Amino acid sequence: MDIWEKLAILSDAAKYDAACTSSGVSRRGAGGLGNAVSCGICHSFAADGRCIALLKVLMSNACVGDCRYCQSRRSADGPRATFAPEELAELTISFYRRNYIEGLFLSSAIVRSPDYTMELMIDALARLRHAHGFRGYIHAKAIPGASPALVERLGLLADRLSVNIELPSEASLRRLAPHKTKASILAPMAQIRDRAVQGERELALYRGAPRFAPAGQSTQMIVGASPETDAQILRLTQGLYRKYRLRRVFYSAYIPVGDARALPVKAPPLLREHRLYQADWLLRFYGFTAEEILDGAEPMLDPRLDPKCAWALRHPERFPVDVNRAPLEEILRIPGVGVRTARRIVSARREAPLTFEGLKKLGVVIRRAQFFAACAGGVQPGLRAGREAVCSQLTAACRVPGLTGGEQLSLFDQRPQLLLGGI
Amino acid sequence: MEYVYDGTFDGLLCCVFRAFERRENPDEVHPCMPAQLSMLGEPVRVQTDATRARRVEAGIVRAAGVQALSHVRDAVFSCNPHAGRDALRYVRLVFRYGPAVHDLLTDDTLLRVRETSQRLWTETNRLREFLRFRELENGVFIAEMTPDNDVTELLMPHFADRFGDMPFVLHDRGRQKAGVWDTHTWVLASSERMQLPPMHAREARYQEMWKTFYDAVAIRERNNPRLRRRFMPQKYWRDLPEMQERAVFR
Ligand code: SF4
Repeated sequence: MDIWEKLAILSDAAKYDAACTSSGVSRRGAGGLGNAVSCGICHSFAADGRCIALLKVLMSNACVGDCRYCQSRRSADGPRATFAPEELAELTISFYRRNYIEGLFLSSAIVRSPDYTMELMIDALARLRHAHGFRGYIHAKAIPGASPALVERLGLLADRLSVNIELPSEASLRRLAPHKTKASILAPMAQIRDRAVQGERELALYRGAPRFAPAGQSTQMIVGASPETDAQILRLTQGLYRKYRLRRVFYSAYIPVGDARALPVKAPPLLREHRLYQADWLLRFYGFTAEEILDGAEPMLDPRLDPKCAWALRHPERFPVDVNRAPLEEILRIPGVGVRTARRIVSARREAPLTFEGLKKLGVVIRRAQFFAACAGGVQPGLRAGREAVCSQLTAACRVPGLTGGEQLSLFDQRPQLLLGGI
Repeated sequence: MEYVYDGTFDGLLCCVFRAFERRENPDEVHPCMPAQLSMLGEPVRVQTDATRARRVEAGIVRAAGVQALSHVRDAVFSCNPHAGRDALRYVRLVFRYGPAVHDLLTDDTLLRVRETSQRLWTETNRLREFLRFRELENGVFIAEMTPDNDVTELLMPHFADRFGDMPFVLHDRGRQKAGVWDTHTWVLASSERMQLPPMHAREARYQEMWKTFYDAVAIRERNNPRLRRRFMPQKYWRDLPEMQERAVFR
């Protein structure tokens, strides 16, 4: 089969993987080919608005597994292909030289066995790194069930590793991905975490120590194929961040490509996915806990409001926050104030007391913040307006600009500073 | 009164020098002779002098650090016609407030200077993303662009580092300006008489393969052309192979 055809098949099969970022590692060129920029670079945006940073392909889609939600499963129809390692290395280089991509995101279905699959992947990456001297970005997926020695080799070639958690609970895993277990997924995750810690220690001792997955590890789960609630998903996410030191958890709204008898067939829950990403940002950058975001009574995130506004409305006793006096943690809790803006507030107020005019210049989204902030000019009357009135005004104000709302909404996690800057 | 300088960073720094020395407050500072003269008559040509430039530079860095200096430098590359004037006013603030200048986040001059810098670097970063190289028959790669700001010089270090072993030309069509990397050093040159050899035989095939990939990774159920346009503004499309017609051959 010609490489062009393989590319068509194996990129189509890889498209449901959410992660396509190239961030987390910075590496200068060395006179040869490639470097890496720590904030990441997107090179294009697909028709669905998602960023394209990496050549995202499967090594192979000829799977021995039979996960119900997956289009590469053994029982599905459709063409099968497997890249030859050298073929893939050359394709990556040719795309990279044209500035189409930052590097490669290599995943795979299980060909023959997890170990065999990993050997193929390692072969391709080793050619890239050694024969072609490639210093660009590589994200590789570790295959659950592969031997630890292979995970080790993969991590020495890649910048980021990931193991997909796939579904938010063990019960769902058992039902939809019969050959995978929680243990087989968590084992490589723990190995990668421990190896990274060890790597940091070695690096502190001598600078030439080989770097193991310097951009850390991430994972992904499918949302909407199984019955877990948002509260369960957020608690799981929080646990993953804390226990496994993950850099990112990605969510992917389930799109019915799998075995229709076992799975719901309806429009992908894009709005839900979007709210989960917002909540994920609150966990990582705003000092929220999963229990605060959804506090027991409510199992699902409010589709009408972003989770930060929703939390603020449930806690009128915490507001208004005085932007001229409050500590950074409290300023971060004001809806309409992003992380960067919060820091700016803290430095700008040293020069002169802030007014609403001033807040606007600093980048605060006044439409939202007015209900929750107090400053030199006093409080805006908003908060006393009563919950329902505030709620309906906020619903309008929190709608992501440029998007129409409803299930049409399709905001991925890319360019988050642009879109979520002011949540 | 208006100033004109030679379009270099040193030239702009000499404008600062003159404004302080003579206590002048120019209404505009142009990087080259404006096509239309304003009511204020013939602008003053400010001579570039490296020694003076270094003194001003050291003064700015001492007062408020390299970040302040980079705001001034950005004015040289900006397409904002008032960038030079704003930079001069900004330097006054730098000398008045010292490091605290960075906290004057509600001051109009500072906001304008920051916005100029931000626009310049937004465009530079966009081009880091959206520049596309084509391989020519002789093994040299070329990327063409039509930027608003004069960003060639700002892009060269990134691409020279990235494509260390690959000779390339970065071409600003509008300014007829080229950045050339020969795998050892890079230089800026005029592209007025540049003649390009034909494309490499394999170039078209890679472009088509890229389009195939581009089409395949999009998820149909999530189609969202508005979001795409927001992230990838239409003005870059003419140089993106993925936004061109698909060839029928294969
Ligand atoms: S193991 Fe399961 S999820 Fe992975 S490719 Fe095979 S069928 Fe798909």
